[in-house]
Amino acid sequence: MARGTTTAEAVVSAALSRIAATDLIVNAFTKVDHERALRNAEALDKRRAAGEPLGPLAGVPFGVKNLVDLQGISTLAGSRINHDRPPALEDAPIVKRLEAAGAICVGAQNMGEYAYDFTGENAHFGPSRNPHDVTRMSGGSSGGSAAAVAAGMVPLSVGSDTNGSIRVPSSFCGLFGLKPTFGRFPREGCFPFVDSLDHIGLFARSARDLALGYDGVLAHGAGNITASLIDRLDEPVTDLRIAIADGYFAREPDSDAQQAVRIVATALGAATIVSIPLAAQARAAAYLITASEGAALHLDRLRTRAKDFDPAVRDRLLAGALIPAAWVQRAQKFRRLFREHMGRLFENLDALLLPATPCRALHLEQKTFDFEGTALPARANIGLYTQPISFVGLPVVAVPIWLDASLPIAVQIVTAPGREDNALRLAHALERLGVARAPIAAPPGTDSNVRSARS
Amino acid sequence: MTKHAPSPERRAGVASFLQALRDSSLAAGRNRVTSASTPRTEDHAISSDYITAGATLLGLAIEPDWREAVATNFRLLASAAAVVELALPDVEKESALVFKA
Repeated sequence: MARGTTTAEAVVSAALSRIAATDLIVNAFTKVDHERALRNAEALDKRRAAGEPLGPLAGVPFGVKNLVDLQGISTLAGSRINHDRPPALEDAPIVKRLEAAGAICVGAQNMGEYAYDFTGENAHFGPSRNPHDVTRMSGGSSGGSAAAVAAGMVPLSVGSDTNGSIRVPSSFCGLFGLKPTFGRFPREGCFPFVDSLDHIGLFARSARDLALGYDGVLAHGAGNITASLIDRLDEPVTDLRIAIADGYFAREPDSDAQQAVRIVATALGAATIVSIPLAAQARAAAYLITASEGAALHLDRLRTRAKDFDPAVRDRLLAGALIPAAWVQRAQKFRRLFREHMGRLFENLDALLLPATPCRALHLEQKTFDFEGTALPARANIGLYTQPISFVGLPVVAVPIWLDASLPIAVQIVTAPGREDNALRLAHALERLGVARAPIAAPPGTDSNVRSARS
Repeated sequence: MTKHAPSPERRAGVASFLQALRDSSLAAGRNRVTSASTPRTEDHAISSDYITAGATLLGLAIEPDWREAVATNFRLLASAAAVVELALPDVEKESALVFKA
């Protein structure tokens, strides 16, 4: 763009063409706003022609999970119920900031209903499919956002992560996913799920793209943080103290998930093993808080529109509405305890490696997966490695590992609060070493893919 | 952070939670795990009565077809609460979030 070798209009038109060619199968978008995207591209090209400075994301097409407000579009949050909401009057701040950095929004992306899901399936809009194998889940709840990047429709997507909804789709779709420290990215104008757990984050196909997005969001915020991560990505990582999580996070030692962690640990020279006490309890507490806060948010809708929910979501929320207050109070009390534990851990550590998902992408509509010899319900358990981390708001970058040519699986790089820089530097180092990579999926839409998707 | 061996109570609590996960169908009956064991009858009765009372209090209409899935989800939450309970210190005082003199 800056060199004039291409135009924003050409880049955006290519993205829209790619969406048109692939999204009939992948189902990543619920609304593509051609007019808005092309209008903004034209305006950007005029600015460049006039010699005006361009932002670091100039001409980069991006999509947003459809819980993020886009002016003129109803914010559905994956639901049928929200169809009754009027179109948003303005863009959410996260969109404004990315566009202030030059990026161009092309539309809203499919997601699990009200973000209460790890599968990427949606009872109303159909599932977003995994572009690497369209018979499989994209992961949830930011499934459409991940699928759009993996399929090469856009290089950047905005998602949200309450219990793992960026990290799980990153693992299933083979992407770099950033869940920043709690509160780092603005949440205004985003339809909530669990106020004390919701994070806004990004998907991309490289750590560099994540860093560009991160810089773009922060550089145009109220605090106007100008420290650039992109300039620090190439700094050596040999000084960072990296450990592998044991215990709760090291179960099923022969699994793909643990194999991926070992590959990353070996590449980074990490040999220290640390235990994270009470991780199972952290997950249980996250469960309670999620159900309770989510139910409180949706209580009026449960009273008046219960039949319009996805039944799987409705039944979880109804149960959550009935939780005794004492259980939630104690979960919050435990949360403070666990936060202290994790804070102390990072006094002597810079990064922690642990699996992102217990398995690679499941088949669509698969209800259970095998874990430690038993069948666990998928919807509730795919995030068993992600929940304890977001529970206390730690930043994470998910890095995609390919154990073979079939499907990816990700590893979580967890760092101290506010140290997204360390996580992104390590992710970038893994890319340079050829250990982590996020190739664009082969275009779905071949006859065989179509047959598979419909079968 | 040093490693420590979890107490038998804690191990039992975690095992209980995991068992509840295995036993649960988190959506409607169509998602039921066929290999799961059936929760105890008295648990069903307790949660059923509690759900009826709680739903009435909150103005929620739970249709007969939904009850089993709601109850199953509620039992899972109860197991999670038991796990959390085991991790808390016996005595803990916490001040409310207010200005203080």
